[in-house]
Amino acid sequence: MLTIKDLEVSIAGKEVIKNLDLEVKPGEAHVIMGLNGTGKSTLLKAISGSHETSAKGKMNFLGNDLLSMSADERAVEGVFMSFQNPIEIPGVNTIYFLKTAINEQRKSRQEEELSSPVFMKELQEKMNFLEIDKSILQRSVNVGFSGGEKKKSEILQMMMLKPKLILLDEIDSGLDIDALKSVAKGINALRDANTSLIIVTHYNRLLEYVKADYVHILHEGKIIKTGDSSLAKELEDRGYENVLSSS
Amino acid sequence: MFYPLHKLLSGSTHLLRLPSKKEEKWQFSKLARYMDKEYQNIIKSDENKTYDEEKDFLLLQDGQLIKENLPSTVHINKHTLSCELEYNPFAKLASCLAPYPLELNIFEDAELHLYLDYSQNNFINSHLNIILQEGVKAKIYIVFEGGEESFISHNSHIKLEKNAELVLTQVQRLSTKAVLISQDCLHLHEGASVQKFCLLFSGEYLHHFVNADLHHKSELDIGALLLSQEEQNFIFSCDINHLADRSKSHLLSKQVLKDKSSCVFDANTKIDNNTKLCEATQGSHALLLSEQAQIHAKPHLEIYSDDLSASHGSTVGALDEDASAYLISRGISPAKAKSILVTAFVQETLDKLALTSHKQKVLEVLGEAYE
Repeated sequence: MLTIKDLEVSIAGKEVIKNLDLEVKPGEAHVIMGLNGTGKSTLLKAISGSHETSAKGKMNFLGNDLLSMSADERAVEGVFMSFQNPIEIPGVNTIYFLKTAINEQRKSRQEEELSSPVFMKELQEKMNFLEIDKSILQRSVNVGFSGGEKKKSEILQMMMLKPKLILLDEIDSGLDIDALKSVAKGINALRDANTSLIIVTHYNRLLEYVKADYVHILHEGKIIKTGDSSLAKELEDRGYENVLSSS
Repeated sequence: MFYPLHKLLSGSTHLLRLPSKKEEKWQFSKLARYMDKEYQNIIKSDENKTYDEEKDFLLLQDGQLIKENLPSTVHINKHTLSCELEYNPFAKLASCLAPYPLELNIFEDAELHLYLDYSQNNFINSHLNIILQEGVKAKIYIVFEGGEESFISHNSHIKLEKNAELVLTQVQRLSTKAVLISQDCLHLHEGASVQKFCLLFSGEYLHHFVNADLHHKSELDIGALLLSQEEQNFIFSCDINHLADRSKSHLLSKQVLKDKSSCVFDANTKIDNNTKLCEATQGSHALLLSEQAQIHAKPHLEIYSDDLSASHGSTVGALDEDASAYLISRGISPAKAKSILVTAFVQETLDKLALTSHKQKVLEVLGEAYE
């Protein structure tokens, strides 16, 4: 699904990712862990086409050269990124934003726009599933949302947009146990043989609810160790320094 | 043959800037310089022009003349006004050219649509006098229309008697080279209220003045939306005088500027000595969509009372790149994202349009202009 080769990524002229290779097959869940400032978020931003990043190398997604595509084109192709700190947009209400995003994507794919009743029915179902307070729909995007509401809103967007490649940047940060379970429930609901995940996290706790196929340790812009989900547990028990020195 | 005065004016307005302390009449002095030389010539060449009342003061509704349709409780008078026009130097000079000022005297609740069509005239000076009698509630929607070479000076003198209420919405549909200099003189007597919204988006040079006198417990709420592009120059100025206790004024202006356009926001709210419990707010917020666009904002409070609540502020900024990137990351095109964010920016001002029918009309005008 996603093949990355010799990826170099800079932010504000500073090289953050160096010669990174990664292959994500359909249905797989990859977890990226690492110390602060090692390039985890930058990697996700580069895949999603963030304007902050400048990337070189090869990045192939379902036969498309991602690096030659703009961020909105990547989203239309099925790339979705959940932000670590979702941006607040005063004046744009959440329901309008969601419907616009869905229909803009459908329009780009030459599909018929979703009618309001169909959209509303699906939205209600997803909100009930995630146990989201309906009041957020009339509020401006992420404005005045609690930390948990912001993360749930990201998951709601993800469920409504039905992406093929999901990038989750610290989706578990700042969540209480119930909210974490709810978010994990949303992630698992979207998982199937054709949907892949790349999750950036600092903790093993999310992985207790979302099964990971691979855990990678990113250090100084490179993947230096790859293992299964037990690696995350090992990192949590022993710390990066010990794990890295023993490898 | 008329002088292409608008070219001179629009060419000079980039010189408008924030005034130094010595330049109290800064923006007017710039205009006056051109008036002295060019405007006088226009007046001279126009001395013998016979004004046709029907052409100069058309009142249309949906394209049809509505003069006969006005309710009997709205009296139409033509008379010579003695408005205080000191804030509008153009009107002052040109008042002699308008022998048929129009007065609407409203005795019962009414909803009026005034369509002021100036497209057949290269140069026009008009007066509109509106009086709301005690307790009357009126909703008035005014459209100014001007042709390619139109140079319009328009003066409204609006008087609200005790407890009268007015919802006033003003938009203009001017050709790209038209010039409109308009002034609203508002007199609010005890308990009266005005909700005014004005949209400035067409024409080459627009200068809209608002002068308001607020008496006991009167309330003035103004929303202004300035959308400029290319080389348009818009000036929005307000002088609000709180003359008695418990009067309230709220002024919110939003400007969206593209290309090489420029806007001026110049407001002064004065709270008189010996007044109590007055409230006054002023806000000017500009969104610059290009590096060449210019905004000059001067919110100003002049306070002589100790017992009041007042605030003023001004912000200038570009489109939020992070917000734009967030929308784009969801598959929304950059152009659509920009449109969404600009709409969100102006929404607060559009919310001042309390009347749904007026809001719908303003949105239609905006839709036609920007779709």
